[in-house]
Amino acid sequence: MTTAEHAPIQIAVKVSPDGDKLITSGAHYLHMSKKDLVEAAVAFYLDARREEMQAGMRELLSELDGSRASRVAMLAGMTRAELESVGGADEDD
Amino acid sequence: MARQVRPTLRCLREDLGLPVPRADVPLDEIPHPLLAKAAERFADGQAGHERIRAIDDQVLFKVKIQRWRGAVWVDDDLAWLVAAGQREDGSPEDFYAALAARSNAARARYNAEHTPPLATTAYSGYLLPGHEDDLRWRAEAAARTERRLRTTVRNLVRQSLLDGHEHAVMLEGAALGIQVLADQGHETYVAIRIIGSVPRRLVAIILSLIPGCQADAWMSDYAMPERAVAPEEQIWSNIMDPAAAAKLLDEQP
Repeated sequence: MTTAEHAPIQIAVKVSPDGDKLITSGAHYLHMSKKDLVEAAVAFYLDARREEMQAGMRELLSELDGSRASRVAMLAGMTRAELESVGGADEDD
Repeated sequence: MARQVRPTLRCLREDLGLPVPRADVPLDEIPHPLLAKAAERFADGQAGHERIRAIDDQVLFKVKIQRWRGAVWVDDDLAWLVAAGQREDGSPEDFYAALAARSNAARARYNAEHTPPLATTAYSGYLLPGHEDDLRWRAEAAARTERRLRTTVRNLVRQSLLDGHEHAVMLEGAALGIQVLADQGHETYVAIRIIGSVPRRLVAIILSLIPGCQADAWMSDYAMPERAVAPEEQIWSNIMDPAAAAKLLDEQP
């Protein structure tokens, strides 16, 4: 006999009426349960946004050439030329 | 509160005849008798100072030592040496008379180019700290931050390499934690945890300071195996070159 204590735990998520309509419609369209659609959609969206964040960070990191001057310029929010025009930065240690 | 006294870059180069040092040297620490005197006179915000009367568009104060003469402009908790020169024999106020003449000429030029004209007899605004002084100020702050970040990051990596645990500090208003898991004979995994609102460029600098990691291989994680990511928490991970890890351990802290 199956008892309630063996059932997977379910957590309710509140959404707006319009969101619920979209989820319901989408679940029918994809022949999925609303629960499965929400879980898959969230995972898909997070992965997409994670890729965006990683791409943004890769772009920032590509501006750094390993020199101290490139790090100081980025921290100061200025170009390397601007940094050099006001004295530059040591490359020591 | 003790005031710093900095020369404007124009004053440093043209009036004092000194080269602009690297951003690691704060301009208020440049050794020069006039700057030292100004620092002594303007360190106390309550002390009285002698105003340069001929300059009526700004409040500029006199500072003198030996043959050097200077003009100091006070901005909140910072004082700026905005003009300097040397007294000529037999003409004790020569520098200030010349400064007034230059400022009067500057006023005439300003009024020829601007509407409405200045009602003052002098224009000394061109002497005040401007864009390049702001850049210099920011560069000095960034140089200090970079040095502190570099030391902190390398120390955290070193500590975690030794015991495999996460080591963390508070830095720039955020918590920075670093964990390195060195799997003998295999890959060395490094995770960076930052909690707090920090600029993305600060995160990029931190990641760039981790030794032995490919810049294009950093991964962002929105969940940890054993828990969810906290609000304002970000986690970045990468594979560290074991040779770079070993080299870091060989270095003196």
